Amino acid sequence: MNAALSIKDISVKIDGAEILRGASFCANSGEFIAVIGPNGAGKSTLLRAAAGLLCVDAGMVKLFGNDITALSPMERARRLSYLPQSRPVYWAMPVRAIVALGRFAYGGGDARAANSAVVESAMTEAGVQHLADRSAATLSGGELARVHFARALAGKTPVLIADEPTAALDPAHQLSVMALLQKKAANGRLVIAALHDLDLAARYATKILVIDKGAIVGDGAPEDVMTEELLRNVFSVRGKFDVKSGAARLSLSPLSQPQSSD
Amino acid sequence: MNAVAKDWRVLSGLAFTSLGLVFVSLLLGSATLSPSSILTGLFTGADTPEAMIVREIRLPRALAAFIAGASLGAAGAALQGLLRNPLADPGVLGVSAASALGAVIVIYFNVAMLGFWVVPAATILFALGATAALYLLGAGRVSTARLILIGVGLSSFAGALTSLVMNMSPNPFALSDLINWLFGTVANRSFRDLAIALPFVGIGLAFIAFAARGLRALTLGEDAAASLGADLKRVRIMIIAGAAVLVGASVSLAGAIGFVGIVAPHLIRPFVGHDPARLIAPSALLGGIILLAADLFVRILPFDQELKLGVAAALIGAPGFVWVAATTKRMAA
Repeated sequence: MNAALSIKDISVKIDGAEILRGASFCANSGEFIAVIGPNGAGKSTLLRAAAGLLCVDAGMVKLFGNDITALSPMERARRLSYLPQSRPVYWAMPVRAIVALGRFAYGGGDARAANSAVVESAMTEAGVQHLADRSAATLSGGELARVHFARALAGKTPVLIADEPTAALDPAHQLSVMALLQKKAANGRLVIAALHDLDLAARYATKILVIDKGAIVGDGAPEDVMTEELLRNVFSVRGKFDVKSGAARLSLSPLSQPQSSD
Repeated sequence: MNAVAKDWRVLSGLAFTSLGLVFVSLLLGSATLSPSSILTGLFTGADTPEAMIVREIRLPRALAAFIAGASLGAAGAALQGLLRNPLADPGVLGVSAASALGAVIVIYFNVAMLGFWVVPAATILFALGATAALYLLGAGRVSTARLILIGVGLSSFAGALTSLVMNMSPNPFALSDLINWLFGTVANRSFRDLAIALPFVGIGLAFIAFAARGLRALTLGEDAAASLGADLKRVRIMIIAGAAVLVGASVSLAGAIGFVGIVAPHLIRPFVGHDPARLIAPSALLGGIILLAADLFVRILPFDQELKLGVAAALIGAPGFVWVAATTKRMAA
């Protein structure tokens, strides 16, 4: 059986700088993978490459066994949705029309799509149904982020890749987004999300992928990967990970003194 | 009311306004004609002076103004969708300037004498050339912000070359002809001019219509649009080529006329839910209406020397440009 998404030894150079160096991982349906790493580690580049949005200099990305570059944009979009880190809306379109763009790959009447049950349920799941007829120009940053999230859900794709889905959200919405992604994975989708909040990553993800300086340095269950040593080496924080009463908790504190990178 | 029904209402309103305005522009002029003589002139082969004025002078002029304006309205709406900037316009990308340069060059080097087709061919070819240059310089690779800057450079370069040609022109008549191209006019247009331009207008509109859905996806930015399934490379080629052909056709009909491509889409946006795909057809009709109205205005002004159409368009359009620039809030999270 093919993995939902398999990344084999990919390298990406942008303007001569090597952003990814031979990254590999395999991801199966039902997993919720959190990609963590410090700023500039290559998280976004890894996700964009995984989503088939940039040309890799070496290696291959396979989506359900197919080379992702061999799929047409529409074929790819019916299997994989991607939520970019920056979430602009350039025109003051109503929220419903923006969420309906999630159905783009299904062609035909976009006007019909705007009224479809899929779009309604995506808006409900992301908690933006009360904004349905509002113009995007009138929304706050956090509301806009949830509208984009609803758009990504509306594709109902088996693979969902989200670059910092919790950015710009208040704590309650961060938790509800994470819970929703967890539910999507439990229902058989593959969810991959880049996250900065290590605690959220540890609590909700089934698997953690740690990336540092363009290379994957950790891949496994949260409690196995997020060791004190890794947190110190990669994130330069003192971290204690423990599992109490079923809920994984991670408490972080700054290192007392500057750490050499040995 | 759903979007489709709303669009049809907007489009039919604009279409009726267009027809009414064409009729009014047949009525008015240095000799005011009666409605019945216009109908006679249009629908019978009568060769009375009134019928000849209607068929040979006023109708082609009105249609030329309308088609040039419609081309600019559609090209402006399409480029704004592609570049996600309400100030983008055929002028911004340097396509209009290059197209007018084509006209000026063939006139200055007396190539234009070879036949009526030379000037239109030159405007369309130069518009396409400017577009190809834009694409080769990086439309496939660079961000749209950089594309706008490349367009600004191209526009300045074409403008400088045009000034150079004008400075070198030994012929005072050539100079007055040059002014017609640079300031824009639809005086003395014939059905032959329309027949040359129309197929290109059709091709340009078809290209843009084909890529319009991609513009809607681009509302969310390039990465999101690509992930949604839009083929961005194809969208860019179709929109840029379509806009170039439309601009070339409009310059061949009316010379270089600015601002219609900015003002028409801006006025239409609230009526189509700010959707860049639904924007295109009504912007074309409104662009046609604006230019036809501007031409009507220059024709009935009591000046000895007729005001150039492009000057009238700029008198209305330039403040419109400033208004759009000042009131547009850039939306990006």
